[in-house]
Amino acid sequence: MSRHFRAEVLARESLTPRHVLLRLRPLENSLTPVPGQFYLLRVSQTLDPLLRRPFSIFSFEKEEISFLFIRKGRGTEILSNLRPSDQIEVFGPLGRGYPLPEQEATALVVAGGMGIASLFPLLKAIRKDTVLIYGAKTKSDILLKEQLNSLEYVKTIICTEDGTEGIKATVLEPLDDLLQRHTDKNITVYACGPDGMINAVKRMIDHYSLKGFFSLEERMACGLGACLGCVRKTQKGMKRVCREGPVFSGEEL
Amino acid sequence: MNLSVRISSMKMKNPVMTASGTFGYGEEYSEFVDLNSLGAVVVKGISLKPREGNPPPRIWETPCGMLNSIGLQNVGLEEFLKFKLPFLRQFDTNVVVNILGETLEEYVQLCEALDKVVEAIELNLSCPNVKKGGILFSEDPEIFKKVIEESRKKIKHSVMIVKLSPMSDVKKFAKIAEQEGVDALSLINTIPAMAIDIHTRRPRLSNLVGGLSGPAIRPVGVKMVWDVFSTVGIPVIGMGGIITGEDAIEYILAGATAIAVGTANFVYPDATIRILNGIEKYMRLYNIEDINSLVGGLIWEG
Repeated sequence: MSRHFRAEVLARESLTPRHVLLRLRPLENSLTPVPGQFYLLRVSQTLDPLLRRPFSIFSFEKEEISFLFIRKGRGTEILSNLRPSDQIEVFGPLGRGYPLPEQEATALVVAGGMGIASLFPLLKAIRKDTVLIYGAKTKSDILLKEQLNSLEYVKTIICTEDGTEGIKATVLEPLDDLLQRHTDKNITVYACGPDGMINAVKRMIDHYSLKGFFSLEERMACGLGACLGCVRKTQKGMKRVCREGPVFSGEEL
Repeated sequence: MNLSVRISSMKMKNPVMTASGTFGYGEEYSEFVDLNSLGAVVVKGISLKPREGNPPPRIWETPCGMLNSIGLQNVGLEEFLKFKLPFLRQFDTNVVVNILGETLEEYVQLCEALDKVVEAIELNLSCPNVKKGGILFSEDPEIFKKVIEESRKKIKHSVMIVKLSPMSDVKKFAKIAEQEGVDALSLINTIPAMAIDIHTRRPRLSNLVGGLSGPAIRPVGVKMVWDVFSTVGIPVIGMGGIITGEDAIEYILAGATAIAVGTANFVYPDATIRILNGIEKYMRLYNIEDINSLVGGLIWEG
């Protein structure tokens, strides 16, 4: 078992013209990840781009491991051009994932844009009544509608900034609305999305004195906590997103 | 086949070391690299007190390289001695501590505390001298000389290494270091560089400027190792963009007795082992019995 292994591309599916699902088959035994953990993928056989790219795990089965990402820069561009049977170097699972909600607690999951990629495996793992608030800029950024529908225990509230799908709002309005109406305080909030959203959700759960877990994103080099390139300032000083994170508790942030 | 080399009195089973700041305190990589198989582990730069470092973003990728402005974040001397060093002592390898200070006194205290405790002390002098208005210790020959002179008095047992900045006249500074009794020189440190996000017009690094490392700087490092090797008689540790065994051989031919692996650790977690294997492969290819016979083996009619 190694955290550094080769994998073969099974398929590269375009969910939209910009969103790619990369399905890989590990060529060696690899460790089972926890939702929220991530992998570093080596995108090129050459030295440019030099560094591996971090992606949170989207799904993991015995013979298949997959990543959902948006084409944004050179790294994701190269990855989205991979073809079946191409080989790629994979390094992971790395970091700390989401702890599952405690027995008595209800999970409230807040996904902003591509944050859904990290939270989807958590939703699959929770297996009890859960509310998902899923926001994006516009209709075409809302992914996985069918897969989310098939999770019967998940009630999904979709919102878009331009109102082209679901309610016209950011995730914060339905979240505040829900928290105001809920007298039961045994709620654990999980959030992944842009920094602005993370900060706003954090303020809100502090206001309602709730427990929360947040997945952060940062540019990374080693992925092992050695280079100190991916730190974030927390209540307890600089913490490494790759090692102490990417999932941090509300108290830590 | 003999791979063992000596950096002054420090014997190494092979010439492969890690570059400070890219290998943490060794433990981060111990899952991927058998630390027993390395010539030496050079740990993240240590200061007297812990340092928080710069705010993020701290890294930015560039063509065949990367910029970093970690800001010398480290656990400080006390925690290093208490927790980090005991871990490394489980392994049969040399421990080299890179040290950094903001004043001359801090360097002196660090040398005093670490002498005999570790096999070698590497002085990183590319730090701003707080008492001299922030000028780098590595910039001014007088200040450079003074720190080395005072540090030398405290290093009685460990090997004393001085890391050279590529921003200085390396030949001149190498000579000063040799005259002051330094045992070995390591080079090159990263090259100051910057990058701008043209859409926001903001710097890519919060600190504005960072250090460029990776294969992009390798030819600069090879040239400076050659310059220093041709100027002084003390051993040289070469580094800067070494990714493969061939790259390591290039540095050795330019005059490096040992080499250090830096950014490559981020590309391949087992980079040091790959490089070691690559060195052996080259030696087998050319029937080289002793690695030492390659040091400075550049053939040139100039």
